Amino acid sequence: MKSKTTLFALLAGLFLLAAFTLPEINSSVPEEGEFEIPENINAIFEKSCFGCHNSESDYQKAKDKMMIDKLGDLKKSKLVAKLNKIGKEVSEGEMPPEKFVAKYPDRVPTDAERQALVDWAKNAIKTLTKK
Amino acid sequence: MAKKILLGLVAVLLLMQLVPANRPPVKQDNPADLLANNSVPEAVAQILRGACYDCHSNETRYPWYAYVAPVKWLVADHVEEGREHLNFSDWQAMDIGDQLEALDELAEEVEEGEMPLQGYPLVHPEARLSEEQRQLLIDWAGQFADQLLE
Repeated sequence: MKSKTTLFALLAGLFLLAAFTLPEINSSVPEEGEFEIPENINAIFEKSCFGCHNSESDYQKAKDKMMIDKLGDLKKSKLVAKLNKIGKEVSEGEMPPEKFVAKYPDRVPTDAERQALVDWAKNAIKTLTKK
Repeated sequence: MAKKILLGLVAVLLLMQLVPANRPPVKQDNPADLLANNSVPEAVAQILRGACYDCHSNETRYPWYAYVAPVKWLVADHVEEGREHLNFSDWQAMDIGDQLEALDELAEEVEEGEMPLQGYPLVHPEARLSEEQRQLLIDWAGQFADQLLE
């Protein structure tokens, strides 16, 4: 009888422990707001965009418009704006610019790479703006 | 001789009037308009209407010279391009990504003095924005963008 009560108490204790610790486990999962660029996308950025659009670029105009390495520091509304811009410029072929294409023909993104960037940007916006 | 040249010039000017300008049409009823659907502070709304809406909405107020060549072609071009980039009359129909991008660009263009377009304030006094008005517009764009995500 006594062992049965002990077992019950133990089980109840375990249950309670689980109930109280589970939310904590969940909260250690990265927040939706945390922004990370997946490796395959980053590779395209590095090949085709990062040369001008990074925080240490010598090209001020490109830096003013977009610093890909600093996207994660932006507030959400600004991040969405920049992602939307990436999707638009890349799909419309505005970026990379003509000069870059002429100078570095082998660093121009392929159609598949463009599509990957556009899809990624679209999905990231969807996640960020989910209410 | 001088008389002939003058007559020739007048003739060319008159002939120019025959070439139409494709002025984008004016529409006063715009159910998806930004200002009609959102509570925008009056001072900001006034700037938007006075300094932006002629090209960035369907409510263009065409001045008399918008009907006289050669200026009419320039005006038509500006309005067409302006609406293409951003048309506040269609605001509610834009997706959230486009809205946030538009607000970000608005702040950037106004801050850098790219907008209102050079020349426009010369003939539109209400588009001559003071530093305070520019800052007001920039701050509003940032706040409104955050508000749209709430």
